[in-house]
Amino acid sequence: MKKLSFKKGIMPKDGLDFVHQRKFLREAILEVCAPREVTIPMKQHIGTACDPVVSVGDEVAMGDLIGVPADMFGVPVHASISGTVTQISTIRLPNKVSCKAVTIKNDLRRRVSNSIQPRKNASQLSLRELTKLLWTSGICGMGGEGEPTYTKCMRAVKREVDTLLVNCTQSEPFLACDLHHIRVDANKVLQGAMALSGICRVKQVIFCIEDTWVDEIEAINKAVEETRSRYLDRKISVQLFKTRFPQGCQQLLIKALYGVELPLGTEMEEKVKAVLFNASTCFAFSEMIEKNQPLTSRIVTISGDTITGHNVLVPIGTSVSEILERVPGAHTAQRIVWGGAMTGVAINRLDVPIIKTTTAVTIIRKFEPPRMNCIHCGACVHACPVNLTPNLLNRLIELGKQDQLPAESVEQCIACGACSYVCPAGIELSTNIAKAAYRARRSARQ
Amino acid sequence: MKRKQLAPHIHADQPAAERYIYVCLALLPAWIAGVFYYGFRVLVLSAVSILTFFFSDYLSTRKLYPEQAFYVDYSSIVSGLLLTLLVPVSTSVWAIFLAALFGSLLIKQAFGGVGTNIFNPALASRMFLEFAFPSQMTVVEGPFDGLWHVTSLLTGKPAVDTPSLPDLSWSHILSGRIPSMIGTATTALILLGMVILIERRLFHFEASLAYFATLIIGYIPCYIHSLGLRHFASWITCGGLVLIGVFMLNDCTTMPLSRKGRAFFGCGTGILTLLMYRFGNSTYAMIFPVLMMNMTTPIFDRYIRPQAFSKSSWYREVKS
Repeated sequence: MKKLSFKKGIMPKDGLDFVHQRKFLREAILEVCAPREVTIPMKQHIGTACDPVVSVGDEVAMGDLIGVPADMFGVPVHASISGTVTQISTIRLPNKVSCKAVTIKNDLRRRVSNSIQPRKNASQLSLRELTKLLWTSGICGMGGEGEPTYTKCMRAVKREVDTLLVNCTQSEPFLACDLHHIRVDANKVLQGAMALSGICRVKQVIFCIEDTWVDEIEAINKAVEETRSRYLDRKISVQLFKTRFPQGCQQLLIKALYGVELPLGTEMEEKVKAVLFNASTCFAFSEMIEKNQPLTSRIVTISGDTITGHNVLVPIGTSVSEILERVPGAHTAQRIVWGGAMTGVAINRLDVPIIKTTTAVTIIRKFEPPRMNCIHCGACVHACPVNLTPNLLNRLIELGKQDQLPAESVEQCIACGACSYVCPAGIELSTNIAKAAYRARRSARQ
Repeated sequence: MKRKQLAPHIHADQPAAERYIYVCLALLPAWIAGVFYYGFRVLVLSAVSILTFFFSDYLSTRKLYPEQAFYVDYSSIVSGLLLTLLVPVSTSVWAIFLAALFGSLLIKQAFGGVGTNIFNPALASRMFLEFAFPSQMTVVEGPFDGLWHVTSLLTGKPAVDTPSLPDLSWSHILSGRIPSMIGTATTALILLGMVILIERRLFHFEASLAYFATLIIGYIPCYIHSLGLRHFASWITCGGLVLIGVFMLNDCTTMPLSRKGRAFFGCGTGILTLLMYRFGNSTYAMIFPVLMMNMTTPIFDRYIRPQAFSKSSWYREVKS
């Protein structure tokens, strides 16, 4: 099969000592984290925040509804552990979202909400019931963007989409949370994807996966072969991609598949008639179908340059400090990153909760490269996947010539961090350009 | 200043200083051959050149750009080493000292220090020598002619006559044992340096490939009367074109950014080299094409560059 890819981009092989880390992906066992208390933010997605429906002192069980969205552009929030609500406060997440948060103290009894029980007629659900399940499940895109899946599906239906893409390429080089689902529970991922394809009324389902993950490709191929006979009306296929950062990015995936360069801000549903879901999202939806279990926990990859990485199943809202308690050597870290090594946010306070879109916690101990002048080496130009000229943009920003930035299409920056990664002079290109791009997009919208 | 903790949190493991050190390492084989062929004077000349470049850069950066935390980047050592390889052994110490000062102060620091220079400092210094000390710049000594002649270090050795392109035997061409600049004739060792650069992923193929391709194609009409593989090899060896093609066209500071621009850059350098060789002086043909193309780098950067995402001319709608 032909392997697709985009031009440029980087192969992050020498950034961290991740060479012997590939092994942890083969581990079947997940560590399950049982936190003492969880802080569940009411806004973990793109859209409107939820209103908490519990008050201090209430007893909640796992899966109980604790936040209802104000309108169609939100997702409901459920309690991820059983216990007592101790506090409802306003918190600020590292991704600059301020919202209310419900703090629940764990009573360690693992009580489960009454509604969570295996569904008998899981395979005979009607389209209407599936849509309703999707709405109540509280699922939002789990690859990092966090768009409510229900909203995405409705938009896909409106645009008459005919292809559903399942993104199994990890958006960051050292993540393994989606791949874990595929290797262990490929059938469930497939079931979720097929249910979503039913809701979106598509004719074709494509699993996008990178070529290094041999076991995962095998697992997904096997699952596809088993399922194909049950869905004769839909075409299911697996598409391989070359391993290259940032292949998981939506625009670059579309470029590799269709050869179309989507400008930021345009809807891929409208342009290429395709809708993209993350593998973890599909898995979460299959849990909802089978057990009526809403999204209360997710897999987080813990990786770093000197620790051995692993995947942990954590309830939503667990604070980073509780996850890192059991990681040896985490307290000596230079910085702790909420998210992946390339695009994550470094955090100072460790009480930041894990939310539905957090894919990883990364522990960095390595020193920065020394900072010097730009030596005009062109490494950033050769790395930028969206064909910008990062050194020129950075120079314009330094000189304060904001008015010339749009002519260089600064707004196309996807903030992948490839330019900063390769820069031998240690210049923070990505940060400056991403900020300017954000400003340019905002002013263009107004 | 404490740096903010910003994404990305990992970086490629090749800082700029390391890049320059590996370029030095790649230059070493040719330099060692120069010491072997031309003796003690090469050591003195390279010491003067490198130290002048280094201290001049160091002191002037402290003076001119104190706000930049000074950080030894070893680019001055590369320039000093390259300058030594580009001069004949008969050069006097004073000449090379002045040339290094010129390259460091007027070419590099006056334009803003490392990374912002328009011309390659080593080549510009060599150009200075060509004009300021033309009598010392002609090759008068072959290898092993006087390994310990130190008197000419201070005075230089004036040229008697200008040599023409000799017809050399293969053994001379391969070993580089011909009268030439200190480090330009040992083609095999320069190519060994290229292998080191390739191994460290520091070699940019585009410009060099375009340069050599242009030379090979242009050689045929230029020397239609004396075509031959041996003649071509002796031409390229005597002219020092391999050193230019491998190291000067690999100096990314003075080259265009995009791959396509680099290819055009190399192509233009090759055409200018051929023209100068055919209608001018062989030393000029070595130095000036690169300097002239260096001036055009901003033009290449402005007009030949990657098309930003979704602005490409081949943007097409599928499934319209």
